Amino acid sequence: MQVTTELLENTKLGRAALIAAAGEVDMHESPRLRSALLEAIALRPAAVVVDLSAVTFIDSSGVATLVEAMKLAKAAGVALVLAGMTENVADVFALARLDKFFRLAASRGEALGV
Amino acid sequence: MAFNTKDERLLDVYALLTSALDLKAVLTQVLKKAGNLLRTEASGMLLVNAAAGELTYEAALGKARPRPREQPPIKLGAGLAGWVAASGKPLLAEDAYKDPRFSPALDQKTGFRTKSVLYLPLSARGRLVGVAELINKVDGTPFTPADQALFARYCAVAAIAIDNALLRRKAIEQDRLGRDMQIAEQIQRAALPSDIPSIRDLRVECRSLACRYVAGDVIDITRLPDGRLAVLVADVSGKGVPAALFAAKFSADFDAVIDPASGAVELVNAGHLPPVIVGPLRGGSRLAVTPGYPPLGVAEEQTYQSAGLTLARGERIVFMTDGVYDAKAPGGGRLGQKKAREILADSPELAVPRLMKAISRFTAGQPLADDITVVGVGYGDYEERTFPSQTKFLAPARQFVEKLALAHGFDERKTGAILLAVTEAAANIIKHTYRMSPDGRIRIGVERRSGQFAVHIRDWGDRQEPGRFASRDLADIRPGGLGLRYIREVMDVAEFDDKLWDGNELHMLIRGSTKPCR
Repeated sequence: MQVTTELLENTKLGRAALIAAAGEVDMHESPRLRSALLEAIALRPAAVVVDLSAVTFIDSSGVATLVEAMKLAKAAGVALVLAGMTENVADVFALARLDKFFRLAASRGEALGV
Repeated sequence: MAFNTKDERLLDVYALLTSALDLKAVLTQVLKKAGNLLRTEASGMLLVNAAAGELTYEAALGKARPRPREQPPIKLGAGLAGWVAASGKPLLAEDAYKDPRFSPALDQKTGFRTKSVLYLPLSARGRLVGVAELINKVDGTPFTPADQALFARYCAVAAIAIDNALLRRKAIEQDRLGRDMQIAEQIQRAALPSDIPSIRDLRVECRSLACRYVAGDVIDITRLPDGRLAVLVADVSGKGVPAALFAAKFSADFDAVIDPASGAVELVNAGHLPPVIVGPLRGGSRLAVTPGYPPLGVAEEQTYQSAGLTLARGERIVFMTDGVYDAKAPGGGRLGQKKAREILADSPELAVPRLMKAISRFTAGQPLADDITVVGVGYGDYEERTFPSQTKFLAPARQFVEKLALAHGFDERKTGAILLAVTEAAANIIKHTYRMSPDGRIRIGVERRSGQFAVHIRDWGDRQEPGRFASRDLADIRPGGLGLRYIREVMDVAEFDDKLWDGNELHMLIRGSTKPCR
């Protein structure tokens, strides 16, 4: 899995951290996604957008990481948006009935309005 | 199909399993029987001293190795025997003098002339025990690959007899007073194969329950040099300590050789009820009926002829000792053949674990009347891989399953769902069963037939209590519980199997496929 973070000013959501993950997110890889999320939330942007469009696989550890980030973001007053889920990744959220729990966007463009 | 004369003589070696346990006697017997089998001039038996990195002569016949115990030890890797021990490979030399690894030192000392030699490594329970050495055939011809194949089959069983004797010697050295129980338990634990050979298109399962401290059942499962699988299930007469010490007089044996290329089975049934064959048709089963012979050791002059039968792809042959049918309910009823067959016939992929589960439910914790041993061999589209218990191997494990799921005709989405279930199961093993220890093993077996895809995930960790990790409810999304939810949601069947003697296994089935299997 590759993960990169970018800070964007003046998006639709205001100052936003964009985390782009690519590849497979399993128990081996999710700690790195977790650190990226925690670091981004600590910056206190208005929003954290996680671009999942290049994620080909996610397991329960990846889902749990995003749930944890969602809770932390909420407590910090940061909006967390999951963008660009592929069908396979969306299935994993739907199976856990978590698709309603997250704020979703079809793409990073839709989320950020850029 | 029948065993030829040589193969009949091969059965003789099984008697070693039921004979005395004195190491010297066992070694001498092994060499004598090998000499009869292959008509040799001389032979030797070297055992491994792992601590010293050496082989030592423990026994010899003929004039090539006089006073074997006085021979100097051989370093692993040195000479022909040392090479065999170091490489774990057999060695056949038509003319030993032409092999650069051969040392003529012993010949020079004894005046014996070594011509053709055949060496085989002796391994028992996945560990090198020693090296067997055959020197010169009586008729002067060199050893042939056919001799090697025959000797390899012989050595597979002989190695167990030797290892049993070694274990007993070790136990006696440890405790001169000789606590029978301890000795017997050690031998028993070792008599159950943990390292079953991995052969494509054959799925092998074995389960054993001992009725009294230690079982009198012996199982040996090996891969023959020609690639076929050899299965031995012996029910040694008498129960408890004396039987496990193989001091008993006779044993009921299954001796089967199964060809993964054709499904052909050669079977000798000495004193057991016929094995049951279950197939993909739900509820269907047949019996592997072959000529019935008395148990080994009952009649001195009895010859045992194997009979042939063929498994269709998708069929599974299940060998059971009498203890299965004789399992008693607290009320006194016996499980019986009909009920056992019904359970087996419900689903071939789940036949063995479901039978074991049914037996333990049926007996409801009552002491067993007899040992129970079940060995199942499924023939068809089957592949397995073993991975270390480390998270970095989750991705290669997925790749292995992905290739097979796509080949089975599942689309990307369904394949993704299967990979999710497999990842969750393997991750739970790494986390909960092995508690993140990197030294464990996880074996993933994929068994396919038309309309069904089965994944068996096995570990060798501590016994897990299935009740302990019940699916957590929705509000609680900690990873362990969520993983199980995924497995249950994705798979049509997920059954946890805690009836192995060393570890756990999860059996998962998912129906469907667009392409028919071969």
